[in-house]
Amino acid sequence: MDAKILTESSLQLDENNLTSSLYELNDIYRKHQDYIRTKYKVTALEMEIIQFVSKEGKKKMKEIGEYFDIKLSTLTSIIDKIENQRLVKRVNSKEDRRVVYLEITKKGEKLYVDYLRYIQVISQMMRNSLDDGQYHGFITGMDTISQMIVPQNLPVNQ
Amino acid sequence: MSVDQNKTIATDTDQVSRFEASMMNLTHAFRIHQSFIRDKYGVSGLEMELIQYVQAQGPQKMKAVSEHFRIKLSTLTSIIDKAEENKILRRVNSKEDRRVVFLDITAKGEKLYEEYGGFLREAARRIMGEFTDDSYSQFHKGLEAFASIRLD
Repeated sequence: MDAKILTESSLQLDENNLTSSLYELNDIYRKHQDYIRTKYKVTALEMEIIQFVSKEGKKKMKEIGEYFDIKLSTLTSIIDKIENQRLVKRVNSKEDRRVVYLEITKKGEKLYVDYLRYIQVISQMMRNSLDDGQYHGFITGMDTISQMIVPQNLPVNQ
Repeated sequence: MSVDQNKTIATDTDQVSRFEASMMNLTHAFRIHQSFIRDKYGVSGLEMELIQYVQAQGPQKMKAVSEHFRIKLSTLTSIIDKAEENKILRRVNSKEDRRVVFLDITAKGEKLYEEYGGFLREAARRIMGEFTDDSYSQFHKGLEAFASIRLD
């Protein structure tokens, strides 16, 4: 078993080929992560948080911690970093000053729009080299794998 | 194919949103998976990838490893220092040229590779049930197309 790229002749759906596909997807994911880190100076997780507050609007720190399954203490240092980069800001609730919300800044919005453009370009490049079935099959396959590699769907007790 | 963000692109908002959501799902899933690797095997996701790479390719020069993983040699040095302390990888000097350093796997590293490999094969068996021959073939074509995009 190795991380070799599959050839046309080995497209059969079997355990070895699928394992190779998992390695390959991991490699692509790492490249994507590296690209985000280099281009936007944030980690993939930080970008996820920026995406989240940009799309969903301001969120309580506690909600973000729960959504991303991160301890509040770990989240605090992550938010400190992106707040220092002026991509997000903490704001106190007007109703209850003890409650802290996280919201996106103009700089954060700009970064997110730029990131979205990168996604558009990738999506379009994929679209240009694949037919409808392949394009949608790839997205559906990614979703399936994403769902299946999280711990609750994995044979963790082995 | 390389990414050029200045290029004018035809956009289909639904299509892009769907792709963005999928990438977000993937990021989320890989992050959770990496935490799982850390908790279960006591190594980082990158260390596990290094183990897999060296096991699959045989002893590798540090330079080749840094190029493959697109990590600066200085950064890789400290990652390998830690992996050596953890006894999962080791540096060995070339017999032909003592100045050249190769990265090799240790017995502990091999054991981890076997354990995680077995786990991945089991995960692959489960995922297999979610695909048909046709849907896997389509997915794989997409994987090849994505892999061919140069992100630089």
